[in-house]
Amino acid sequence: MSWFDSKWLTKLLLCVLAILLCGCATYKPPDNIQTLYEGVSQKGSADLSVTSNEFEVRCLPIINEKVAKTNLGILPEEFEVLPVFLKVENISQNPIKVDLPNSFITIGEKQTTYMDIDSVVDRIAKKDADAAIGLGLVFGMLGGITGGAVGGAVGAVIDSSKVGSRTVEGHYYRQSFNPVFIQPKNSGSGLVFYHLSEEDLDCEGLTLSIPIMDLNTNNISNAKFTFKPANFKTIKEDRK
Amino acid sequence: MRQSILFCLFSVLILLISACAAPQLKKDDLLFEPAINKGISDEKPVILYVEDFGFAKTISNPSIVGEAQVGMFNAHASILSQDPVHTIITNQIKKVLLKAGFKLDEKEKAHFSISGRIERFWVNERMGTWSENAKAYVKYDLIVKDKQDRFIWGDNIIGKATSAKATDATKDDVPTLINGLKNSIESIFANESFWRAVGQ
Repeated sequence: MSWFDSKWLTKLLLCVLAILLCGCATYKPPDNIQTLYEGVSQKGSADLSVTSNEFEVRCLPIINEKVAKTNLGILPEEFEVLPVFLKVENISQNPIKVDLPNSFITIGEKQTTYMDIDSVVDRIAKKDADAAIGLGLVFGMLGGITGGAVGGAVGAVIDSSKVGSRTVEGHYYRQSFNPVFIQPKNSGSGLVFYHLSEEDLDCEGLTLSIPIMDLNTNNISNAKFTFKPANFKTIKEDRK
Repeated sequence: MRQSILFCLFSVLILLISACAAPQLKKDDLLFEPAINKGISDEKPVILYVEDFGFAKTISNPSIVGEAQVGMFNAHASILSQDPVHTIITNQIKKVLLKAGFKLDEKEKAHFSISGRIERFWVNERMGTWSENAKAYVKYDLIVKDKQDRFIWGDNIIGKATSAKATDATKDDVPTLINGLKNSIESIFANESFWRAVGQ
């Protein structure tokens, strides 16, 4: 009996497949923006706010791994993104626009940019494809024809079983910051993403600037938030 | 013998080169007609001024509208457009406004002015294990202001489109992007609040 068709190898491959499938089933996207907000605003998480005569902005950077994994289904570090839950209330008499494409993060001399939800999903999808191809190759190398078949099946599972980008895609689009045009006495809320490399997470401090435009006077005000990401990597519950 | 080997190699080379060409968004691709089922009556004409659209920082090159994965090794290749994205969207919006019965004129003569900024106009291919498909995403702001330059209506317009799964999705890239654009434009004219704002 050759090594690749022995029962133990098939069992091992099936176990790995089962573990992968179990892993796929653990993430349940929050039903709506309110549930997402409750999920990311845990005690000890970053919760920053700025108030002016025209607006109130609340900013919750999602840095803690557990909070991110539970509510967004990803580890932001892996994709070099900083997710932020944002809530903007228009307390002025004029309509305002939250100018997200012109918002940015400053770290020392460096500036990093806002990422459209579509780019974030593409970034996650790129890793899905890599993972599917990689696993197919690994199984192929491990078990010849049998392994190749299992590898193909695993690849197909990853392709179609809502792992990674396909699971989070609809959820991210639905829960992205909306509306960006806010009438007086109304508010907008939801997810926004910024590019942030892994090493930037250990920086001494970063500043997030969000321009907000009064649509009648065309005046632009900046809501600024400064924080040290490392302070929010773990929350009290994790430290126990 | 040597001739036939050379012929085979040459054929393979031609095949590889032809397969490596990324599609291009041409002016002719933009001759589509969005479906709109509402319009302005001739009795109460509404005159609009349409400013040229701008584009946000998220668009680094307005002539690149996507990324195809071409050839045997799925090499990444930029999909170029004959016209930059802001020209495409400005012209399409003007075309559909005329179709809906609005009159277009200079700012001084117009009841309302329309401006916008493009955030995303992009198509790429999503690779699966056995198949792939094209995915397009079009997003821009549209702002309507009155003669006194006061904000009347605005929205973040989004148009998405996805092609059917295929063994090679590159041929679907441009049609999928056009569908995304078409969906975005149709969503403006399907929005009751837009008609309430400009319908007079």
